[in-house]
Amino acid sequence: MNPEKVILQLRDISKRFGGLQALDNVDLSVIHGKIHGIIGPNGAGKTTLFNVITGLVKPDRGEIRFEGKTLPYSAPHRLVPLGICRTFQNIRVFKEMTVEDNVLIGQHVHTPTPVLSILAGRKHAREWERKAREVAAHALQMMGLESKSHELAKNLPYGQQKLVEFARALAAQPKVVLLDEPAAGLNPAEKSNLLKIMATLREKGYTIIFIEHDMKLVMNICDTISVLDHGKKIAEGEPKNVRNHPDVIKAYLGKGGALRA
Amino acid sequence: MLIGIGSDLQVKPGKSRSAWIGFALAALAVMVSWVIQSSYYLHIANLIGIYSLIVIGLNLLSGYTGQVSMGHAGFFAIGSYVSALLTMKLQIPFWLSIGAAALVASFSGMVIGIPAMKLSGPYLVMATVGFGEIIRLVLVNWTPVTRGAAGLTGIPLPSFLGIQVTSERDFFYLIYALVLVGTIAALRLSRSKVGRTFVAIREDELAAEAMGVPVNSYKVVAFVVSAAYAGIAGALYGSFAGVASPDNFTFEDSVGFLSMSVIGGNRTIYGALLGSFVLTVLSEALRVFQTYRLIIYGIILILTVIFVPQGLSGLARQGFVVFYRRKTRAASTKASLKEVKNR
Repeated sequence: MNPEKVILQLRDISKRFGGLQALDNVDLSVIHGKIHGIIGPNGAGKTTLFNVITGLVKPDRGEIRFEGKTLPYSAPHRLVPLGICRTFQNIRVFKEMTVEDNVLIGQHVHTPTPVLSILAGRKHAREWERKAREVAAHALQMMGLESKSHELAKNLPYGQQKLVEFARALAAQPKVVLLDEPAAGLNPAEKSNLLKIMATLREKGYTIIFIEHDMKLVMNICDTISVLDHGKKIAEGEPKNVRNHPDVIKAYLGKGGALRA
Repeated sequence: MLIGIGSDLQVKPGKSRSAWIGFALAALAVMVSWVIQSSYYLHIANLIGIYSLIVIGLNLLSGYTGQVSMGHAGFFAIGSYVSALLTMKLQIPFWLSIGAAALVASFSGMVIGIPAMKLSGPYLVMATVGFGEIIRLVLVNWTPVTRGAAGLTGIPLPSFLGIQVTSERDFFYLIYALVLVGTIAALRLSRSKVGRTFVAIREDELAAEAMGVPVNSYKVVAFVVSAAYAGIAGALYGSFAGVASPDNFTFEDSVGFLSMSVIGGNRTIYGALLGSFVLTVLSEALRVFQTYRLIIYGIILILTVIFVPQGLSGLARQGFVVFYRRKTRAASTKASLKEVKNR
């Protein structure tokens, strides 16, 4: 067994939007190869936390270390080559593109852009394109979408569009995948499929951080859960400990609410 | 890459598809030049070719990357004046001046691409309109160089590889050779990783950025490429018309190019050829109604946007898809009928 290795570490992250303290001194340690759930009531700062990690929002204070190195707060696209990629809460697939092309965008940072070779129609460009397509096909296969690769993304049902986004993030070959409410709006069959995919990814050594409202889902699959409320981390630990944490019950489930998971 | 309607039409990335398209276009052009005897029609064909080049660039920018420009007359003008001044004052050979025109236009494309990083939608349109007007005003007022409103006259005829281009027919070959190269280059670009990334930016900038696409750089690249096309077209136009005056590069012209792009279908490359063909022919046919030209353009534009948002090329593709489906459906019905009979 490998000793538990922290792959992503947040220290004292704070972010204020006008009068709203979206994140208040949040510390977070994500262990390599685990599924880390982030839960909390609406407006707790979960998505802001994701935006901070992926560089879309610059925190007022704090530091993020990824694989032991401090992340620069620069353009979001610079984080993808390092191995951080995400999906969005509201689907953001490229609607007018085919499923395959969507996923190929995930490969962007891993393939060169040989402009001259493209213009001359040379083999070199086609070879890279073929390699990228292989990775994309693999990611689609993992989602069970290989038969849909030539469909336009907008023609797919909601649940499958979410999977396309997931596949697109995977095609970026990340070390850490951040999923923002991947199960929201999915039917039970789609949810169990999602769980299976996540479990498979964990086996393959991916680290997954995900935001979720479905308590059953969170409790079932997560190795660690962090609970946010009003921008503060109020609890953290294994699912069974978090479930019975009095602050969590108070903040998230209401006073006296018992969690039936 | 498939964009638009052809979702269930699996186009395999053919090995030499663009080469075939190029070959077909070249053959078509040669045939057209044989059929057309009247120099008036050749003149119009030449104009169509020049406009096609601009609109190909405009399609890459607005149709693919989603950055609408209403200032392309500016790049067109830059190409025209740079090439004209270089050949007139410095006696630089035509092929070099065309390269210089492309280069200077690209540079101005880069300059206008930088605000485009921050601006989007109508704000970007306003910025490009402003750019086009600035260029026109510079042409009018920088009299020592541009000779003001009178414009440059006596732009020499180009000679290319030792061949002096003189007649409309010579121009036809020169222009369509460049249209051919421009079309193939744009097709290859649009079907490559670059084209795909352009489309991703059009569809969702934030998602593209989150997937590792340097969105800002790609936007600037789209402007640069688009401006280069317009610059080359401008160089051709200058030597073809023999004059370059600010009146040729007005806001109205920019609107015209955008109309060609939208009506032809801005999400394909060959839509540019269709659009410039239709609108140039139309504007010649409507010469009598010159004053109403913009009104007629406007009506066609509105109708296009409402009824065929993908433009004529989208319509053609849709027709093709329907035909293809019907054919496969008919075939499968026949097969199943046969099966029933055999039972």
